Amino acid sequence: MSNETSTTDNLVKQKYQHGFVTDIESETLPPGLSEQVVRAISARKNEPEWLLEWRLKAYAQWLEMEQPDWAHLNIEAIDFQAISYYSAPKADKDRPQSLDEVDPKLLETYDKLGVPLHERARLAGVAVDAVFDSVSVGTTFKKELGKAGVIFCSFSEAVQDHPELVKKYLGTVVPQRDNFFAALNSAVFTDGSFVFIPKGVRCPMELSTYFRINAAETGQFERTLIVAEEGAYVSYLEGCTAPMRDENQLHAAVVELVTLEDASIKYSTVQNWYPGDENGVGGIYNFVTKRGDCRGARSRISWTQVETGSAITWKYPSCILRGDDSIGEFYSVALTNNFQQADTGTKMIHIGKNTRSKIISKGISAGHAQNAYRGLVRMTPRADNARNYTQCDSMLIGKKCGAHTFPYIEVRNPSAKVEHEATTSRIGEDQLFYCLQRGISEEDAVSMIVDGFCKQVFKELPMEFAVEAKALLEVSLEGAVG
Amino acid sequence: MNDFSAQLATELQPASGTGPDWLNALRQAAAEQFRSHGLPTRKDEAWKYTGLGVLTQNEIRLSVPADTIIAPAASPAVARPVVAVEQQVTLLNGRILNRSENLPSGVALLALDEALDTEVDGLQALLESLPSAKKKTLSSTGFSALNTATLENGVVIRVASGVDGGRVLLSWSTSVEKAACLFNSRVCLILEPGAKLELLEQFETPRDNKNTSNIVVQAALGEGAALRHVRLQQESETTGLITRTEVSQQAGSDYRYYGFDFGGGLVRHDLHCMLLGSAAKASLNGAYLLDGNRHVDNHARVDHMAPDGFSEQYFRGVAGGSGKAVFNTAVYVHPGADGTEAKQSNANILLSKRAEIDTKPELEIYADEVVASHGATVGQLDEQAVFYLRSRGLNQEQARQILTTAFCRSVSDRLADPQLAEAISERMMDVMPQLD
Repeated sequence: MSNETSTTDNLVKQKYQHGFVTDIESETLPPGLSEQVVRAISARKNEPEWLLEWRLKAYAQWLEMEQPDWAHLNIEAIDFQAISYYSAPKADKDRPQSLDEVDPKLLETYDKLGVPLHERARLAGVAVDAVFDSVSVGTTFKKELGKAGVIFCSFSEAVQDHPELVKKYLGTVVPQRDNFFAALNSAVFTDGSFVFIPKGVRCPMELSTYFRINAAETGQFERTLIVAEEGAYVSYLEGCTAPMRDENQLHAAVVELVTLEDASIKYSTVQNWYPGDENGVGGIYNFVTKRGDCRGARSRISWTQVETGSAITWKYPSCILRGDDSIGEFYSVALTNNFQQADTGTKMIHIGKNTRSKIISKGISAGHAQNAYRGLVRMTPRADNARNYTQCDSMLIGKKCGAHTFPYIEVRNPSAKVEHEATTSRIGEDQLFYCLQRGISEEDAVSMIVDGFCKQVFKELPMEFAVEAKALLEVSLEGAVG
Repeated sequence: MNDFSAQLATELQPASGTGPDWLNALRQAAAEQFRSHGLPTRKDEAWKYTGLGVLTQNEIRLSVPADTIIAPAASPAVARPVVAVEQQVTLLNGRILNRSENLPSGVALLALDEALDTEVDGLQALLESLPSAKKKTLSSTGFSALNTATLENGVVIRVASGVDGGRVLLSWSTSVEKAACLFNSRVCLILEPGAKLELLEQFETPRDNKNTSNIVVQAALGEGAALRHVRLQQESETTGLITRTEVSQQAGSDYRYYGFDFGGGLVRHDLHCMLLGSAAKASLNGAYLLDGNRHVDNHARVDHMAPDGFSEQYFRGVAGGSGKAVFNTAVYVHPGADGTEAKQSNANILLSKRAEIDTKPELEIYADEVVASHGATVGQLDEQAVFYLRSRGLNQEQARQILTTAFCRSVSDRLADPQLAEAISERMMDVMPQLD
């Protein structure tokens, strides 16, 4: 296999393809975090008094909290005073009304990323709420969605136009003091997406947001809230790439999902932020709190994620299965290469009767990377006949990486059933040998094997995403074998 | 540090004065650690599911009021041995009460203080090698610190190279009434290359008592040595039992553990194997059956530090009544431990609405060419199987009992000695009826 080393080396050293910085003047707050900064963010966004109070309460709670260190991550101390908490493209006051009015440079950025907003949106029938830094600049397909009664807008708009809905649901799934990063986000969140699907409506198209981190030293604090009323359905896609930069950038997002009776939300993520270079320099710190609340009976929340980017990933999309017969699902592929570290997994809290959950997690670790699955399945005393099935598999590529599994299983109901299985292995020599002797190159063979390993998760992704995810995995992984 | 730890810290008097200087240094350091970090609390990740409520309720003391100790002569008959053995050591309150003298040649069995006086080979290294937790979580090894600080009582067994030491029974019980005490004791096993030993530990106090035993077992297995370790625990529902087993294994050594928890009020066992040499094997097996208010917490961890090691963990648990079973297994494959094979399997049956099972099978892998797998389940008896047995004329209770026994017997059947397996299964049957 050694004669392959030079080609594989080249591939390993492949530079991050999406690394560039768009030169747009940003209106950025000076670095630092204080009550004044929280007030300034709120004032700039012209927020109502109750939201400012909500932020200040979160800030006060954050001050009393400590950064958690239980995860299997080696994180350099983060200086929260060195980060600027607000950055908006300068054209903030007169925001573009349609995509045609959007700064052409910005659109060019998306083109470079391979996300031609117009085409992609129209061809794929996808509405895109593109987030550039912290303020939403363009939302398409609003009218069509409006006909169905669906609200899909930036969080700031929702605060202005639908304050009653925001007030009713904000923080009900992830309370301000839920954890250190959620508290930080609650205090300084700048923007994000808001989706509301009214009773009985099946959202006519898949909704999508492209996040993009830009201005230097700017933390991103997105806040997403999706509410599906009785019998509603929505599929939401989230994807992201970030420009190359050497300082570590902090990202602490919060995503809250609420499903009422018979409602269903499918949330898919492809995360490809800058992972740092091959020496582990730079890269995004990604601390995300994602949680769904199946409040109504027979409701369903499904998380699918493909995590290939970020220097550090700390992320546990969870489901609270409160309604009877509700269903929670988690499908994940996490790939770490070079010096990336990921500690990711899910929590399934079974409260209602006959609730079911399924967890499929695939971790791939290469280079010097550390990849951990951390999950909790809790069957509370009320959760009669609840079921969980968990499968988490890890694959190691190379001698210096690590793959870890930390599943917590807590059962307090004698009619509940929990099954957990996990395996860790490397790519089989015999599998490789078989492919090679059939004339398939080592690269192709590895990518084929990895693709097969992840298939269970990929098939849960919407079509366009599945293609993107597969390509992404190949780019991130190729050359890691040798 | 909470009030309980603080109280114990004030009572703590390191067993100083006796023994060599290195030992006193060891005791002092441990006492210092205990005084600044205390006992574990539920904030320690390793103690997340296990609080020390039973110990605090029992108002455990370190110092023993003299008038409350029952003189050995007047103490109730200690536990009946599960099988007949030739070599037996009876320990009361952590001290040797009596021991058999007919030892095979090549086997030394000594009280810890004797062993320290005669400077048994390898004993110092073994005592000094007890690992402590990481700096931030020092409280999680608080019981070990307490044990080391008061290091005085216990047993040392040394088996010479190539000798088969046969079976040795350690029979543990306590005998304080009116007050509740914490007794510390240490067992050191040194198996020279190629040596063999079977250690049978039995924990049983024939009447209810509120004492807690804090016992550390350290075993050093030389190249190709084999230790079979069987542990049968049937303490009363008010008794505390905190134990830690540390096994270090050289190349080609073979450690097999079979643990049976059929009793106890608050039971915690930390079982840790370090596979230091290549091609070492560790097989950890256990069954726990809980009724009443019992709390049994088993933490098993295997560190693979050399290539071609093999480890398996096979645990079965049943929780009924208001019992709470905690099970945590971890396999840690260090860099360089290529060719490791590690298997973990844990299945549990939850029988009652008040019972609880918390299980956490962990894998941490830093090496290539590793095959590791784990499976964990929590469920109920198979209703179809119950139906089948009932259709054969058994009543509901009999059917359930047969199935639950069969579930746990899969552990005792792994014992090589069918006579011992049968004897343990019989004890298992005694617990069964109370489980619902």
